[in-house]
Parts: sequence; structure tokens; C-alpha cells
Amino acid sequence: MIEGWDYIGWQGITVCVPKGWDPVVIGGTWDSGYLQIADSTTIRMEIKWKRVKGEVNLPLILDRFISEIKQRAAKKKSYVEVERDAKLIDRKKVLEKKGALTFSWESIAKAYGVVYQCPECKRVIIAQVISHREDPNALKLASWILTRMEDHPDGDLALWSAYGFSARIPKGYMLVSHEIKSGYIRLAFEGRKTELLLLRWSLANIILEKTNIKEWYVANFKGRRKKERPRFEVREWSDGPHDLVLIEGRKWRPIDRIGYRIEKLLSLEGKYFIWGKAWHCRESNKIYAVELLGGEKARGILDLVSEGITCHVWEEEDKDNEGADARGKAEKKAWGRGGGDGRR
Amino acid sequence: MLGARPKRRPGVEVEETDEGELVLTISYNPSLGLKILARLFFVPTTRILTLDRIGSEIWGMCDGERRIEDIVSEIARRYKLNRREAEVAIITYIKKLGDKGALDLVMDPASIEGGI
Repeated sequence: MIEGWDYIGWQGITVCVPKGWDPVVIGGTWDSGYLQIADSTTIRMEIKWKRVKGEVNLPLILDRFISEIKQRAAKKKSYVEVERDAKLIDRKKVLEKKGALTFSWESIAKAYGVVYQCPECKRVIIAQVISHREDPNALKLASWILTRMEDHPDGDLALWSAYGFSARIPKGYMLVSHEIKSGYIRLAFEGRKTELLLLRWSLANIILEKTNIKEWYVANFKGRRKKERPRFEVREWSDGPHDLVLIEGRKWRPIDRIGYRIEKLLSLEGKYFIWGKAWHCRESNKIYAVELLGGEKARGILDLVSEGITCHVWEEEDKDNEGADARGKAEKKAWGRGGGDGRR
Repeated sequence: MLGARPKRRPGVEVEETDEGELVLTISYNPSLGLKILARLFFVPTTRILTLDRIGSEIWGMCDGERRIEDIVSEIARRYKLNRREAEVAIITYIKKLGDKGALDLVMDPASIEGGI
């Protein structure tokens, strides 16, 4: 992580943007969607994507996009100057490899953008970074962001992040529903044989004022899982700035019990097991939870996902580092994560 | 909006509960229609609002000096909230208090579009 910069990840698209830029409009699916990112005053970045099987006519897509920009400007009775083949300065070869077309426009604001089709995920991406017209760093900033933008996860994990909440989950999970409110984030995913739920509550000090994480989370879990009527065991432990709770159980409706027995005989893996792990991170004053519904063997996904949630950053002194003596002390940054299962 | 300075409306009575929450009593002048209705039915002339802990803190900061932006920064810092998260919630909250007659919003002339 670069100081002063943050990653935003959504539907496989990952961008590294200055701190304080947050998604303000999120829409669509993996196949087709839109992401708008703004700073505290105005829109700073827009990304549109659409999966198209086969080759596409990129110049035509760019033409259409440019005429949209011109139409919008005409509606506002404002002038707009568009330039194709904008010269992005930083690592532009990365974009050239993808066959990207670049553009820029200047109106009341100034923007630099790219249009390309990813040969791997087959999505056509239109992305632009918008700056103030007088901003002397506009080109540098846009080049930096656009050349580092990723349109699909590189490894086995995909980044999902919004409003400071950041999670890495196995590739292949599809977002089925989400809620992003002040103080509450819920992302629900479906995999091949599992369902995954990521939750974050802010203002933990107020939520837990008259209770503790175990009592609160168990009540919360029961309320959310009423339909599944699970039977479960609860374990709690502390780890540094985290108080953790682990729920392990099984759906207990008669139909699920019968279904489980039948599927076990047939060596099938139905979604009969349910796990929930929540932790109160005192450093960030937030409560995080990961819930997983799946077969007996899916348990590992819970730890993998909770390890991939970054809840806080702290700086610690590395006193043993002799090389740091000249500076008196060295600072080491570490990411707080909700890992472990309390058995250590 | 972020540049506006919310100011507590004079005449709003404030009481503090044991739990540190504030109870606001807002008096308002009934409209002519309400005055007529008040001859037949009981029409309250005050409105009571109970503010939770964070609401009470926000109320305390609405001194006509601080801008909404400053309040957002302060609340985000105190409760370790993401700035945009805090911004959305606080603007909505301040608007609500304004609608209920507890606050006035003082705008800087320079921040009003087309102002001189």
C-alpha cells in the first residue's frame, strides 16, 4: 500500500486512488456495471464495463462515448474540446499491450481516459479520471491511476472495498446483494456451493456500550438466520486489539436434517453447515463479521476470507532492528486482520 | 452544503438526561389554520426531540461558527468513521434538525452561487 493512496475494488475492477476518494455510485454486475468515485467535493473517476463475447470495434465505442460527452456539454450549454489518442505519460505500454485507445476532454473540468477490451475477462472498459481544469497534475494523476487499474483479479482472490472496508475473497464469488449505509455495510456473495456474507458495523463503542461482542453477535446472528433455525456452538477469545467470536453450527430444520443425511449417503456437499466469525476491532472502532453457509469441507473459506479483511493499520516500533539505530527507531506498518480460530 | 454553518435556534430549551442525551423542546407559532383547530381540539405548541449521544454531540457543535465540514471531520475523527460515511449521515441529520425547527443554517455569502 502506498502512503496516501487507497485501493477501491468492485466486481473485479481494482483502482489505486488518492485517500479520500470513495465510490459514490455503484451499480450493475460482473457482466455490466458502473462505478463512480468522488473526493469530498466532486466526481473524480468513472468506470463503465460490459462483457462482450468476441472482438469489439473500439474506435466505434470511443466515438459513441465522445458524442455522449458532447451531447452532455451541449445540454449544459458548455463548450467541450475532445482529443483522441491522449498522451498518457506513465507506463503507457501497459495500456498499449491491451490495445487501449486513449482520449481526453476539457470543459469546465479536464479528463483523461481509456477504452479497451481485456483479452482475458472480455470486458470492455471505459475509464476516465477527472480533474479541475487548472490542475497542473491532472495528466500525471490520470496516467498513474489508469495505467495501474486492473480489470480482473490477478491471483485467486478478488478485492472488494468501499468506504474503508476492504476484503479479499476467492475469485468466482458473485455479489448477489449489497447494502452500503452510513455505519453499516453488507455484501452477500454466492459461490458454486457456498454463500458468503461480509458485514461491517461502525461505532462499535456505542453498539457494545451495554453488552459485549459475544452476546451482541449471537443475538444478531440468530435474528439474521431465523429461517435456517441453526443449532450452533459459540467460542470467544481475544487477540491483540480484537475480541473475537466464532459460531459453528448446522441448519436444523427437519428438511435440512433429512437432506443432510441423504446427501451424506450420496457423498454430496449441500449447504447445511453454517459458520460465523465476528470481531470487534478496538483500533478502528468497528465490528466485522464473515458468515459462511456451505458443506462440511467449506470451513477453510471462512478463515481465508476473514484473513483477507483489513480492519486497521498500526505502527509499531522495531527496537531490535540495528539498522534503524541511526534513526533512533524504525516504524513498521502492519495490517490488522480478523484471522485465527482461537485455538492457538 | 458542507460550507454552511448550523446554528442552534434561540428559544429551543435543552435538558440533559442522566445518560447524557439531550432533550430539545422547540416552541413554534401555530399557523392560522392550526389556531382555528386549536379552538376545537388540543394542538400542541411545542415539539420534543430526544437526541442520542452522537446527535447531542452534533447539536453541541452547531454554534454558528463551525461549518458542517468541520463537524463532519470532528465526528469522523472521534468515532473513526470513514469521512464520506460521516458526511452523508451528518448532513441528513442536520437537515432533519433544521426541518424540525431546532437549527438555522447560516450560509456564507461567498458560498452561495451567484452571490456577490
